[in-house]
Amino acid sequence: MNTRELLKKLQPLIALIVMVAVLSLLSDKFLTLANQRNILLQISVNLCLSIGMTLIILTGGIDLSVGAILGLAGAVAAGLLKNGVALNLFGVSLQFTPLGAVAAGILTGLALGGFNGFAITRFKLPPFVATLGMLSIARGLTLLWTGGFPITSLGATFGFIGAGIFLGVPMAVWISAGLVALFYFISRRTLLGRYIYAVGGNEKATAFSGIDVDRIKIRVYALGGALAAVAGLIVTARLDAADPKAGLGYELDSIAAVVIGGTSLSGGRGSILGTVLGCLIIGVLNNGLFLLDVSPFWQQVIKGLVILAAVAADRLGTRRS
Amino acid sequence: MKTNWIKQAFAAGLSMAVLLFTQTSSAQAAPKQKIAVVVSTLNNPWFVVLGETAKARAVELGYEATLFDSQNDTAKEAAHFENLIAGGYRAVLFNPTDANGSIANVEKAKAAGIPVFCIDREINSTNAATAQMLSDSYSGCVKLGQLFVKTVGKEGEYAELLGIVGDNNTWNRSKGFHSVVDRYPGLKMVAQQSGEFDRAKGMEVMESILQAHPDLRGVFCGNDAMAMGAYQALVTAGKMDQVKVFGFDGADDVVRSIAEGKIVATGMQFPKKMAQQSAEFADQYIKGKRDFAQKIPVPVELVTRENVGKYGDYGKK
Amino acid sequence: MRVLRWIIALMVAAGLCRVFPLFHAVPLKTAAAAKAAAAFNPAQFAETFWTGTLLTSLDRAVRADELVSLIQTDPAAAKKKYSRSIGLSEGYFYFLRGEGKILSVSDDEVIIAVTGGGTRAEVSLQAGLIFGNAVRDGTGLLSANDYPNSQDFNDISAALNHLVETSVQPKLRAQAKAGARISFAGCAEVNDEAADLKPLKVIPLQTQSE
Repeated sequence: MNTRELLKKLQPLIALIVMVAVLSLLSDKFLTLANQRNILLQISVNLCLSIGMTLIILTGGIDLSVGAILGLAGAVAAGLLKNGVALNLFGVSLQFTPLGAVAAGILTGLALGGFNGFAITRFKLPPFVATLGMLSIARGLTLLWTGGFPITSLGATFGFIGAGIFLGVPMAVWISAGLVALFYFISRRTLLGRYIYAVGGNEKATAFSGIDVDRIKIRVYALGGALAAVAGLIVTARLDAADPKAGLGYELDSIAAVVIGGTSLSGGRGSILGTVLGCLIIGVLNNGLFLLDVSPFWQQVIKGLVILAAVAADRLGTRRS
Repeated sequence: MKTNWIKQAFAAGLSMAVLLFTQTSSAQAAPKQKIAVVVSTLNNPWFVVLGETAKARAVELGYEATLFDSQNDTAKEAAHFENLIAGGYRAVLFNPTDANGSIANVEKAKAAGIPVFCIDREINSTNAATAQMLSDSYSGCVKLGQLFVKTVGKEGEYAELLGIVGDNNTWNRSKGFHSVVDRYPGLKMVAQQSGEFDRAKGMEVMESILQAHPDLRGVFCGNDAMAMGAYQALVTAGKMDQVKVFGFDGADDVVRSIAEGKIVATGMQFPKKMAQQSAEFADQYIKGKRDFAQKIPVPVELVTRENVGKYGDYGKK
Repeated sequence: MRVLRWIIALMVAAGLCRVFPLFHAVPLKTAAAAKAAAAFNPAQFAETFWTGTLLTSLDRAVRADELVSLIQTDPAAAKKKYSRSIGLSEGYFYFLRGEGKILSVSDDEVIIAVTGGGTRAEVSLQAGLIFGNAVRDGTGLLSANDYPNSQDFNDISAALNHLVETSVQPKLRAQAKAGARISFAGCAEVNDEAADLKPLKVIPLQTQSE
């Protein structure tokens, strides 16, 4: 690896370090322990979404439905936990335990994500279209399931996922960090990981070498759905409420984090660690804009400019090399 | 090599330039106590008025005030609360995103010793916030419903434009209206569709409804933006005299339309009054007052052609 | 081999579920009963409040003849002395009781004169559909501060209005004949002084022919 490539890889890291340095100079609140913990807590949801999004984008796809799946999975878990489900045929009502609710939420995400993959591979739908459809379906299902009202008061056991603190670090941060470690391992050390990069790099060549590309894609979208569901559980547990509007627009934050982290939208190039940096950059930026008292109207403009700048820098770098 | 560094500076430094720029304006002032204004959304002028008024009043009272936009997302709201607790704010003037979903956020602030004053919307708790000023949408729409029956008559077809279906204000308004109108069996609701609190969407939905139900006598809209949209659709269809339009909120353009006889009535909420009061409460709290009533209803008043002269600019003149 | 692996995985999963159950099956009736017990029941609350608190507190009401004569001479003084308002409201309520002579009866109202020798319409007992919060807020016996969810508080208002329609108004209609005397207690809401004061529109809580 020559110096230029190394520098390019380190680009998001350098950007992050610059931001942290500038913010520590500008605000005495920035480097406090409480504030650093807040930043980690606040990026935990986006981190879960973005891990899945990274895998999907690495295969050359995109998933616009993660925000909606997040909302539905949170609502399913909350509804099962709070109200159970009535089986009129058997005359019983199934009252879910927190563990059961969590399992059902994740299964919901897995199934909807799998359906995305199925639609993309079997019906040859472009990922943009297939997941756009799923966005609408999952939002609608969430409204049907909740009746348009948030489901609240879910109890302390379930709340521990979001609000609990273990060894001084919030559970949500533990969960997202664990998932980062797991998926970093999967992307680097397993066959599935290698195939994901291969599919995104050159799909035809991968198929010719005897790898079942469709199966890889279905798995990746299913994993993306499951990770969105975990994010939904964290959001729901943190707020002690499943809001039918939860996750609105989160797919955009997640795509932004992946792109800022240096993963190429055309697939095959990028990494989970880059995405972690991307999430951190967005989190630090949000936090910094707040600490420096920037008007909320300006905040959105600035965030957009940062995304453009990051991708522009990435593109210029690619062209030169 | 060199260009690479320039790119990096571009990528990271662009926002910092803006930050530095905004920083200079606030950094010069002597350290003042800080008050946070957290508003559910700034995508609707009504809430911008609410937030800006609260902020302006807090500044008048000698505080440094910051406005936060939750973008209708309780998770974003949670992040704001975490940040403002870490940021050393002394009080929160709070327009909650959700009556239930926002409780946990208020409790976090309470645990950190920061008083929260709710504006316009409530949270479903009586021991988290210091005081809550509530605009009682339900009762306001009961009044609107009575006027609706009086104006449209006890018989005929009508339509309802709901707000965003996942929003509890939508249902409080709808339930209040129906608690009256449903008592008259001659009044038939032939369509109930969501206009998403949006003017363009309200117009579009109204156009479709008019295709299916040309004999409408009235339309009840969950907010004023949709009422304006519905009225536009009626003008295009040439039915503005046949169909009576009712809105809710007290937006300026609707108040003007009522004066011109285009729209029958709206429910005036008082964003400025509530916002100013909340800033005054926060000031009193910081100066030592502790006994606040938990729930302070701010009744909605009907604006009709008869009394429209008294209203305007998001309140009473 | 593959099948065996699946079977083992399933058995492990089943074993885990035994230790950490995912859900409990509860008979539907028990589940429904638990849900009903947890939910707020406005109708039941209204019944209890009506007989337990409201009817025993009617003597707190202002004398109708005093109130009406003061309104006729100095409405501002009447408002100051006898009215109650909630929150940042400009409208206000009166809680009153008294006797009077029925001047006229229609589908929607019973018009009476309450002052000594009065012949004008001074009080209109509402006999039509009841809307609004006059019954809930007019007596001062209930406070919004006690209800976490103001939707519950609004449901109480609707339930109280329903009680007036089902248990008070039928009696009133049976008793109401022009020329007869009647005693009553009730609440009035005043939003627009020009329209709501003369006559005072009173929602009846109790009526008795004399």
